[in-house]
Amino acid sequence: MVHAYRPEPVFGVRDNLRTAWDVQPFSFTFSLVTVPVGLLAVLLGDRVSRAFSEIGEGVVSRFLGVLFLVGGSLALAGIVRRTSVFEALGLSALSAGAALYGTGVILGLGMSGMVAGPGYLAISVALARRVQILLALAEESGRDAEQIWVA
Amino acid sequence: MGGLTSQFVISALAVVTGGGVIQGIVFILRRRSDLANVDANTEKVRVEADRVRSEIAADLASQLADEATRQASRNLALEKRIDELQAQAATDRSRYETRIAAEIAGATTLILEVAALRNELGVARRQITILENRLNAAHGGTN
Repeated sequence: MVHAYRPEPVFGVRDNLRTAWDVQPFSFTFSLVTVPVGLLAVLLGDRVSRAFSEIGEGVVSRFLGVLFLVGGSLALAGIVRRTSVFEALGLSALSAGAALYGTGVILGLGMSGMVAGPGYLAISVALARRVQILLALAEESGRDAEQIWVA
Repeated sequence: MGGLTSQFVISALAVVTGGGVIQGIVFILRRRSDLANVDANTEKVRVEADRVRSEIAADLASQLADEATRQASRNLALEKRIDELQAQAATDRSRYETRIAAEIAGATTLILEVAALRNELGVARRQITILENRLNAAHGGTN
């Protein structure tokens, strides 16, 4: 087991927020937005999206809401507190949620969803790529503890 | 795509996604110590970067202060030299002005003397002419 050296925290929440906004503007903003969106999806079910209303799948819509709510919260916490485990968990859930939503939009709206659907699928791919990078860094870090691996 | 088919597809995808998310969570949690190591390294690099930034800022401020002092000293020396040169120029100008005034005065005296000599020469020439006339008249009388 790798015993991680943890230096004294010298950066406050404001510094971390600023760094998150400067370094990961996309992940930060997307996570921030998905928390209230996910909450709405959990509360309203398929009424939150016309695509899911067309399909008539309230359970999947609520599941999507849980993915967005939990994933967004975890990713936000991970990005702001600079904790890669939370970030990876949160972004994984968000990636799955974005894939689900993108597919739902294409299925529910057909050609009318050809902008939003592929857009969300692309977001899903980008988030998954970030998780892949984090895990690759973790793997390298575990393999060679002497090296410095930065997320 | 029909409503039931869409419902089936999205439900199946939700199940697959749910399974994938659970697998992902397990996979990520297994690597949490490595991920924590990455965080620690990132934090170390941030701290180091912050320290280097502070050092560079302090070094730059020190260099700027030194440069400002050096420039101020140089400016002072230059101002002193300019004052010296201005004083020297004023002295030289005064000396040359006096000398030029003396030269002009000398030249004026010479011009006046020349004019006086010319007058005397004119008078002498007239007297010579008168004397020559008298001499000629005297010669004419004896002849």
